Amino acid sequence: MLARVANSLYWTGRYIERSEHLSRYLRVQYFSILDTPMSQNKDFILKSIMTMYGMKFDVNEPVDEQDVLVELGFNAENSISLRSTVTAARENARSVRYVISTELWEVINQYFLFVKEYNTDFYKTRGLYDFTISAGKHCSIIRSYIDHTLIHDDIWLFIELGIYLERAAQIARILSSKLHDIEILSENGANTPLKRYQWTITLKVLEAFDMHRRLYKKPQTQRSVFEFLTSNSQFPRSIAYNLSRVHDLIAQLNQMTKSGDNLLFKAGKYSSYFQYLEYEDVKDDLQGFLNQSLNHIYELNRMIEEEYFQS
Amino acid sequence: MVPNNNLFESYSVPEGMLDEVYTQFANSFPAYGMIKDLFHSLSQADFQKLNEYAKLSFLNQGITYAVYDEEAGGTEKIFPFDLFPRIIHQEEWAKLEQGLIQRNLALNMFLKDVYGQQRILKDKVVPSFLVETSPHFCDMMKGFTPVGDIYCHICGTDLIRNKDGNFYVLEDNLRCPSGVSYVLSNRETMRRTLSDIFKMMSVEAVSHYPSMLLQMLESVSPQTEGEPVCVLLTPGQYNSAYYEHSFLAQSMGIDLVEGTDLFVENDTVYMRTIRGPQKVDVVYRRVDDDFMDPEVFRKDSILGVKGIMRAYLAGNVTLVNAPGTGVSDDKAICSFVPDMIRYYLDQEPIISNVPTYICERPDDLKYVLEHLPELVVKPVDMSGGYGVTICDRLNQAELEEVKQKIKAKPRNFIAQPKMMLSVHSTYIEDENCFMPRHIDLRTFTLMGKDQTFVLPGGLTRVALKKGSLIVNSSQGGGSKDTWIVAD
Repeated sequence: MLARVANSLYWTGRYIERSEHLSRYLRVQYFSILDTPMSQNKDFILKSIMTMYGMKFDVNEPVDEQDVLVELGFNAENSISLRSTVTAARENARSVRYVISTELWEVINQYFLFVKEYNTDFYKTRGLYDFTISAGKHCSIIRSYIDHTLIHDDIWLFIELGIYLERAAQIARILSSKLHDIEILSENGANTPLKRYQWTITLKVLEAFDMHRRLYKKPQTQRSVFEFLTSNSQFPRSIAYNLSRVHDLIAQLNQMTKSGDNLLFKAGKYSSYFQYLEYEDVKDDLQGFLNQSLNHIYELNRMIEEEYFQS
Repeated sequence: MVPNNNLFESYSVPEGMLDEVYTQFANSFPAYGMIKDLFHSLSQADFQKLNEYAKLSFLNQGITYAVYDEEAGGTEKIFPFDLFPRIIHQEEWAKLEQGLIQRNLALNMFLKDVYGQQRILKDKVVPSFLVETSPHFCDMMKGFTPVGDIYCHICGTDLIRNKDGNFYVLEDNLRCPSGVSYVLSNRETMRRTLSDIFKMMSVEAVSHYPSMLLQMLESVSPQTEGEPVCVLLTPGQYNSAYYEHSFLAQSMGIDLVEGTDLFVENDTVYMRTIRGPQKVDVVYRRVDDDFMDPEVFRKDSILGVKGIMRAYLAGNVTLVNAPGTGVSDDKAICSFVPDMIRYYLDQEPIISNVPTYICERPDDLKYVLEHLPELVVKPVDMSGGYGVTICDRLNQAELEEVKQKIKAKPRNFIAQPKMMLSVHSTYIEDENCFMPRHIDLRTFTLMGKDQTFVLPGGLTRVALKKGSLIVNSSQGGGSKDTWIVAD
């Protein structure tokens, strides 16, 4: 396979996955405004969304709701917007469409057309729910076509690698962003229920609320949420699960391409780190721990690029 | 049958034109009535729904071309597609097919000759100054013979049907002819939208084109052992024909490479893969000669591969089409194809050329200047319908301007009598009904080692603007599915 093609497949996977987390975070956070404990905090929530997207803003200036929503959803000039992310996924897929199935290409293209043609006026007023839910459905359909219409060879492996690495990074970012929210609420003297409610939102952003309750059988705490989303090896929205998949995928690629072992070693090391992580070890500096986790993930990304894309 | 709509109510064949659906002529297709009946049976709303569905089918498949400088993010447009198919009877087609093969054989022999002994020039059948002054003549090809003696592996010949009912050759495209993917996707869209018609008549298939193309590419590999590695070289995804490049690579199952994916070492072409370098045997390049190798052609090209000509001349890789084939799609040289057929094959041409006046010849120049208002003037080396001047639409001052342009550089121009292209019933969205519009036919001929293949039918291009004779997509043209039907 061409090195350039491998690179584009990987980024197709990454951008598709990223777009799903962006749209989910937007929806769950935004609609939390309608719930009582949060109704006084619209400005705070909009800023939380901007933080998670990685958009710069002045903490002391109030923001305009519709401006923020449109900027993050549809500004094609802004590379962090949902529209730009989906466009990037589609442009990468477009350059490799000759190695993927026509059916997969068409569903990716339909996702792009859906975002591009969505009525912005409707979105600003009553369409945000419909828009973000539909975006998630498009991603599910795309993942299903990835799994069910491709040969599970190196082409599929690179897309998968992109998906799981991106998901691990997004989980870390979402946790970090919510932790940051709680710090701000504490500084402002918020009460405990309001702070605890942030962990409900976190679980819902990752569609993890029900599974968390089934496993822990009691209301969520900072500790249970952290454990569940970082080190649970059976839950597909935990960092440990995703890095373990990354490790497996690299092992398979390694066998096919007879590449060096450095990358495999690092992937195994970081994957194990999360599998055997104990909350006690990191609880004193959770933000520092999340930053370090992201650095591990970015390091894997850099090594993948060196190993496969720069031939 | 009483129509359920008024799609054809105001239809009238313009005076003095041949309408392939309505006019009776020697080769007219007798069963167009079945298609009109089908359209008549639909309600206006149902027809519009079908038309929308056809458009959506193209949009979802991503068969679009980019239009720049509009709203942020760029806009993509579909190449307009018309639901009324153009039908050519099998008997007439069989003759055209023979004519196209004959033409390609002669063109190929001509190329071998001009890059070899130049007999045809020495015998003064083709004036040597035309070859010497052609910008597409490639000096490096002199004395080199490609695998199987094949130069023009893929040729796109444009045909038009004149008022007299016969097909004529307008021009040959021997560099990177495009459009074949539309033939295949038009057929796919027709099958998705109007499947009932296919039950009424048996239409010759076109879907085997990619496998014929691959077979041809493999046949010209310099490597005789093992499976040849063929790739398609594209200028990249911002090229207007990128959809076609990607579609062809996918349907042949070969790699779609860009210039930066290839490199040359020891006069051998390799591609960069995740497993290191892999040797390449055949490059179907959709990059023009000028941009192919910065080592010998344009130095500023970033689309090409440095050293690929060295590898080619060393016989280690085959380029499809061969460099320098453009010399025979020079419109002045094209007019000599009938003479080439007589010279090399000792046969009479099966398909005639549109008569052509070569401005570089003093007699022709005189005629052209005296009869300008009756003529169409074309630059010899442009494609895509650019630079074509239809002189009966010009005023005195404009005519004078054209005359000056020709006189300044006669070698750059040819002139042809204005051929009235046939018309065909075409749905015009703004009017919400069918109207007669001018059409032509781009055919596709493949030539490999010991094999030739003509794609049944080809791409019928239609000028959507009323009265326009220019069918190119870049100038407001659309296309129709083209059917070859035996009774």
